[in-house]
Amino acid sequence: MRAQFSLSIIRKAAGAALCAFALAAPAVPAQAQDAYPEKPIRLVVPYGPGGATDLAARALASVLPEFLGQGVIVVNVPGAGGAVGAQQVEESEPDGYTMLMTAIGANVLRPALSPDLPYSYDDFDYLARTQINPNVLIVKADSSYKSFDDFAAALKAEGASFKYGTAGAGNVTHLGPNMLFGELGLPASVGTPVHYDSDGAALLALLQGEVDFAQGNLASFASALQSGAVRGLAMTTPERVEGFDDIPTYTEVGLPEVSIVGWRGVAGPPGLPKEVEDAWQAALAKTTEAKSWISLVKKLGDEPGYMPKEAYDPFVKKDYERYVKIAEEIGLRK
Amino acid sequence: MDVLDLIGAVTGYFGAIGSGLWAGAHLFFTLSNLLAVFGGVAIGCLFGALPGLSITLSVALVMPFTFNMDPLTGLSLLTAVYVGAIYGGSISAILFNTPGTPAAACTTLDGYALTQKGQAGKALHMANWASMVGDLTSTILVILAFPLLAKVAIYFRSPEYFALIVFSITVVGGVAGRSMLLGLIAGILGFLFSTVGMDPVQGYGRFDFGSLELLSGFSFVPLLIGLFAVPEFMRQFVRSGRSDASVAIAAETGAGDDNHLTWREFKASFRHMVRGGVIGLILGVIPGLGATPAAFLSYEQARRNSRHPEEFGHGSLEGIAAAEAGNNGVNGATLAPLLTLGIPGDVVTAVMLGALLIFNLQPGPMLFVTHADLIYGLFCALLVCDVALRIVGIAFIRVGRYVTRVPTGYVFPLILVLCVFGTYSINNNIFDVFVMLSFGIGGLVMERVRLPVVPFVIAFVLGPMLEKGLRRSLVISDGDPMIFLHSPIAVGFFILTILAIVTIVRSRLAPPNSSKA
Repeated sequence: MRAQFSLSIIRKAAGAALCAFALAAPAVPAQAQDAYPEKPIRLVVPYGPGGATDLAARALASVLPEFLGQGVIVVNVPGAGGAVGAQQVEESEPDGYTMLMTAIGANVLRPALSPDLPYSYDDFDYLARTQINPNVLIVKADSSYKSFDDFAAALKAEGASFKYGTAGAGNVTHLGPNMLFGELGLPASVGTPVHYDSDGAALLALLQGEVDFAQGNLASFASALQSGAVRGLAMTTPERVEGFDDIPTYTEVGLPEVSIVGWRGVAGPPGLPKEVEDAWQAALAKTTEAKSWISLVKKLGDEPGYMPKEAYDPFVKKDYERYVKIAEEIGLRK
Repeated sequence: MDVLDLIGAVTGYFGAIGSGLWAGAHLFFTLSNLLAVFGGVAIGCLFGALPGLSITLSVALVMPFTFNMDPLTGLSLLTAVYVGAIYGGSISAILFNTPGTPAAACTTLDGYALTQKGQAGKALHMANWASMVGDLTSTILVILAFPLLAKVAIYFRSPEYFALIVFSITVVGGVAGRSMLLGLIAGILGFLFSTVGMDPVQGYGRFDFGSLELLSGFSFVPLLIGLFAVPEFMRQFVRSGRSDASVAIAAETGAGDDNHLTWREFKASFRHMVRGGVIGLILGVIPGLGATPAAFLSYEQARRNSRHPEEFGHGSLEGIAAAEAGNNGVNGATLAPLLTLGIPGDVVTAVMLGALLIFNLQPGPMLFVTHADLIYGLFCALLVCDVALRIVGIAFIRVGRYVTRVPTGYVFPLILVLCVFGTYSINNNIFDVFVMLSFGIGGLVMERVRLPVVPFVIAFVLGPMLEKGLRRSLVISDGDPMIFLHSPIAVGFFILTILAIVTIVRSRLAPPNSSKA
């Protein structure tokens, strides 16, 4: 018993060490398949290792081979807010062996903010959305705003001037609050953004009292919410999020248009052959139902949000259009 | 009565730490955890030693394997990889003038000088001991003062951050070299190059000339390898082309008998290691600074306090000790803001935050109530990491010394190939390889016109931090510069800055016989 036990941990640790050298090429089930895919597939993440999109891609890559019949290798191509990696996939051969882990930043926000980018939001063959990423509006725990209504009233008050922390200019944490001001009928000048490097840094600034509020990634704020250091006023998801049931959604407070979420999925370069499209759509549909994947995604702070191609295409288009609109309003599109 | 209360409070405080450690040790000392620590340090060392394979990449690659592990095993593994990688960077820095990680840039200054003198073994052992002592110092302090350290992060808002960077730049400016003017020019060039890419505050493109790659800015590692390693390869190449080709490091190294670290040398550098650990601790607790500035700051403090400041930059063991202790001191300290506030100080701790969430562990004050044994178990892992660092380090040093016996004609081309692969793999972008080669040529030019490389590198690292601190502060104060004078901490750093400038100017103006290098 004991020998067996220690053997299994040695195996586990040795396996971990070995696998680390194998650069995360997952095991491939030996199984006869049609022509595609006949070799491992590169899944390009347009951001650096360790970020939310990277972790999402690695979680997906750990389950996908089961349904795709081939290994999926995550390749990080960061740079220019996701544009370098997205551009690389857009230009690549549409043979189904170079795919993109899509994200709102690289696929929608960058093209919406910079019209002179070498690619456009619709230059990709979107296959499926896999997950969404709730954002939450937070204030410090000792703030006098106990509810969203308190906060909205303060925003509407005469001469209101707020500072809010973002995870960088032009990303959801910056555009989200602007959308809120717009829906409340307020000018953008009611809130001044202070741009930090990450949601974590924006959270720290909030705790330090340097900014008045922040609206960002739920996963980044989750520990502060649970420890009671900050208070959540509104959630951007259509429905309340499990574990944070006390935070109302924007839809509930009467502002459904502020429900902006981050999202991720998979796309390929334009002109993918039908068999590639079919293989991926089927594999993604099954992967997003796999229990192991769902629990990983939830733990990483995303919500499963499968959306097939038919719905994903118009969804991306609608997102793009509204971000162009807001970027123009606040003078960010250039 | 008051004295008794005080004694009671103190014993209570340390008693709680003691019993916490006891419980943590119970949880930690299992075979799988020990394997995780030793394996992690070895993986980290390898990634750190190979130029271009970044610490972040090593941690991110290991992370998926922790998904199925016990939380403490997984966290121990990630921490060990981190600790190992920060140390591993020194190996290639010493042997080939090629910093394996940005944090090891400072170690090249004296480490490679010693290798050229045939004392690579000495340098490698010193780097290993210093990494261990520096890390140990900061880990012990972290364990003793954990709750207090978390508060430090809260007090460092944008104005304080800015003041600290101003102070660091001034102090580290002492590494400038012989000419103040050339040092300043190099520093300004470094600042200029750091501004290429997206404006860190508003997101506008700067000097990008319409290129997406330039819009991303220059990556630090290709730049470092270019400036440090490529000129050295060229030099070796030119040298080996001559008829007296025997002057390769291999020949020099093989000859040296004086290649072991003596007790006396260790003792002389010990205080620099401890000081480096403390400096690393302070910079590690403040999110967003990291190991590279800590190494340089520790190095410069050691130079000022050394009896042989003239040796710094020419093969000083004290210099290696200070630099390596400084960068390793950061390791444990970054855990303070991560575990107590849930705020990652750098990309590596961001990955660890992801791991914590996977294990359903929410960072925050409550973590110490609900999972105290786990936290103390992690502290035990950090302590064991130091032991592992020594043992794994010895193995790596053995191999390293064999490598130095291979003729340079074989080794350096191989390292150059590794550098090309490594720089490519950072962003999987060929652009970075061109960046490396361009900065290599730039490094040669700088050498010709006697512009020192170090101020350039320091300015490149600290420049963006300075800009962010300044501009964020001004956004917050609506443009009122008085915000910097409202904060006692910031004012304190400004006073220290002025004192540092006075000291530097004085020592430069001192009669030449007293400061003859």
